[in-house]
Amino acid sequence: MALTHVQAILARLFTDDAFRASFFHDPVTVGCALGLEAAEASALAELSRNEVEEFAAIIRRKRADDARKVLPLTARALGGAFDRHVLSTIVGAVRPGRHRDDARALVDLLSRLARSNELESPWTADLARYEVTFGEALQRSACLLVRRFRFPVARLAAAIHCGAPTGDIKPRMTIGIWLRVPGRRGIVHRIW
Amino acid sequence: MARFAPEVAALGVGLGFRPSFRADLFRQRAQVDFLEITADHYFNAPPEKLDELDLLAAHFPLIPHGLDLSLGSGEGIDPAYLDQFATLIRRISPPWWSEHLAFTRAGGVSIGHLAALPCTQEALDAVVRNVEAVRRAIDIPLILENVTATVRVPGGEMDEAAFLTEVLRRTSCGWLCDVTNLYTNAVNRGADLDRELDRWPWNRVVQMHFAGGHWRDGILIDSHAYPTSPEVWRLLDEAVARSSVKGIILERDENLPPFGDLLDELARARAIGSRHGRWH
Repeated sequence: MALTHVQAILARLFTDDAFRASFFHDPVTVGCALGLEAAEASALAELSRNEVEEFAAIIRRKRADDARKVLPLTARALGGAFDRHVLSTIVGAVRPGRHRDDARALVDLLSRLARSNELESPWTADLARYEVTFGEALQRSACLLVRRFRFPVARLAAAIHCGAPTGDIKPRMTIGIWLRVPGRRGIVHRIW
Repeated sequence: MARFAPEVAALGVGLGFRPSFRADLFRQRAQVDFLEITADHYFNAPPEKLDELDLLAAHFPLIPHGLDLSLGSGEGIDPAYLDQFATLIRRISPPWWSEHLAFTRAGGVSIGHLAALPCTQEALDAVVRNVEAVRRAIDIPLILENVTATVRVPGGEMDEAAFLTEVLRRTSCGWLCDVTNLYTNAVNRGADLDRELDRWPWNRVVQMHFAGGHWRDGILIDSHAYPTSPEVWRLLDEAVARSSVKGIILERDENLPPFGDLLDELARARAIGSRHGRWH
């Protein structure tokens, strides 16, 4: 079989749910449409759907674990809901070198859910945005980032880090800045 | 041109470095002989990350381990990624470096994980071409790691042992033998690994990996999230007995236990190497 064609098909099968469903509905037709000879397409049709689904699930699981490392406090705050939310945002392939994209997609989802009052703790959206902003600042050689939050996110982060209760933390308009100066180590961070 | 280098000095036992245990690592550094670093984490890295790299290099021998070179890609390797790898290796001058015998990119899609190659002559030729391209940029011995093969690609012309043996012969690379991956593939295929052990290229081993996985829906997953199983310990012992391994790395990525538990696993691996005379 033509290796480049086969690997291109496999890469899509592992990362694209809709393509995977289409392929296993009629693998020979899809294989031929993507450049395989009929005999090659017939051979590739012997792929085990269970194995492919399992590998796709492993990839999604790995991406969710990577997002957890970017947003550890958010993951702790959300508990079991973290996996449910982040897995719902993982669609298609990750862009090379952009492993933080899944964390950003989760931040966007949580922000939407907070706006529509669908989050049990609406401050989790602010907390996630607070965490992801540190990563954004670290990845740049120079930047000034300004973020506005509905909740006192630094206090929330400290409470979750220590395992302290968060029930008495009420909404309070908060502004955070992240400054990274070219040629200097570290980030200047202030929050009001 | 740097090839398989069995004459390099033994490093002993070590850990795949994870920033979350950095403080514990430095407190207990006498019990860790060397570190394997994930090369990708230091590509286009901020200065703080490069400071971390320099700090690690000042205290431990470092072996860079790549995730996304995609040495098995039929379409070749990404020159920009290779440049970043070469820059890292120039910075730390390791005795060897490693990548997976797998593909991670194809047709413009980044898979985000290590996909097993079809065991075909065409895939073998692709790996040989790609390793030759890599060697033009990096003149340090490269060793190749066997991966878990969740998906078996139809049309295989040889089995995994024969494929790996031929890859190592034609590329003159050493073998990073991931003992857990060997065990995982055998279990998931219902194969009797003990009966097949003679067929693996033990004379090419430079380094080993071991880790613990978990079962899900009747499949053993190489998750690096649990203590090493008794079966993998037994296989590690057998693998060390058969090879002149220079270094053994414990991989633990998820569900991190107290650092002392990792040190206990290292001590057990060190004892295996000592018993077989690989180091003192």
